[in-house]
Amino acid sequence: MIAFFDLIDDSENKKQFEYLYYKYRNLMAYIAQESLSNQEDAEDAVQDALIYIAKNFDKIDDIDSKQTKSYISVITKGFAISKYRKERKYIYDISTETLNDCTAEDSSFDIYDKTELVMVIDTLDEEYRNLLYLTYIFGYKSKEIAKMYGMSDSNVRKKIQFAKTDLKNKLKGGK
Amino acid sequence: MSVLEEALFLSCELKTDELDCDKEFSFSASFEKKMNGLLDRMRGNKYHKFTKSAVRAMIIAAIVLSFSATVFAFPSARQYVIAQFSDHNTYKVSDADDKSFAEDIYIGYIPEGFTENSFSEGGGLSITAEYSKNDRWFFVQKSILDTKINYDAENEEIIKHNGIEYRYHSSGEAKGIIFNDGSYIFNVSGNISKDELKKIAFELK
Repeated sequence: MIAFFDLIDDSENKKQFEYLYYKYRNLMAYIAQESLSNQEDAEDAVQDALIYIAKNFDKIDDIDSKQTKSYISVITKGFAISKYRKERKYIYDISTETLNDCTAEDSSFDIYDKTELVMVIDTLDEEYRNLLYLTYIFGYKSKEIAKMYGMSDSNVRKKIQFAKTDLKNKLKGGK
Repeated sequence: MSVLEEALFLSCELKTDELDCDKEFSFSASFEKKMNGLLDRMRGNKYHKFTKSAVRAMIIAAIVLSFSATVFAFPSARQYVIAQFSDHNTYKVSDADDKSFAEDIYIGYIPEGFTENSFSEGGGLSITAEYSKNDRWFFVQKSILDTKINYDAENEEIIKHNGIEYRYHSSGEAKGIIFNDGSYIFNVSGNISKDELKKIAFELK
């Protein structure tokens, strides 16, 4: 009936959640602190992320897997960025004008070498990279990401488009 | 899988490898306290205190109505939903997206002679306190809006007071009142009289 107790139904999952908490809490705190200057805010972001993870516990299969570690780090980063944005009343709005005419369709990346693409992905701003991870790896819809990051759905879509366009431009520049 | 997807998978894997889970973070004492309380509750450690009476008060209902859920609107509080199951009901606020953390609780009325047995903060998600006097007990809970409260409901009644709708429920000796004030959900349960429960509920903040 209370918080996590309510969010997770069966006792096996409760044990698994506790295991997840102790396994990843340090990592989550460090990730949150990268975006938030003070410890209290970072701990709040960790709590927000834990609530979210508890609510979506069915998305987690093997707690020890690399996939889970990635998922938890991306989610925690999302909540830390959201907190940062809220506290500073930070409004990030990419106008459509900043987007190139060239919209980077997914298939247009097929001509590039995968390793080269990985290197260019690494040059992206972490937030953009996480948005791409959430969309392409974890299958999140822009609406779900918007809720997590505390921004509008259209902004998320614009940012994802912007990230892809940026990737494409960097790839073209490298050629 | 497209080249972009493959590259993102690979990039994510490489980034994950760089992350260190073992490096100790020095959490604040208040964080540790909150999380320990929360995990204790999740393990069920604290619930042993409530034993059968509390469990009766919180779970197992027998009302089966012709509809499964009804939405109730109320001006100052949030809309809430009562979902009716075969063995219990669930109180849930419909639009609970903008949560305020439960950092403190004010219990304005405590019946004479009752003393606090336990007090626990659940990481800003919930605060509970349990009071007793001989074999009589009650507990109060203040939670974030995004919380579901399961309760036993052989008998239910709506009590309106100062613009808030209080849902009184009872089953045998166990009784409870659930309400929300627009920012938090409150839950009062116990084996004390209905009038005493009402007084406690009306003075909760």
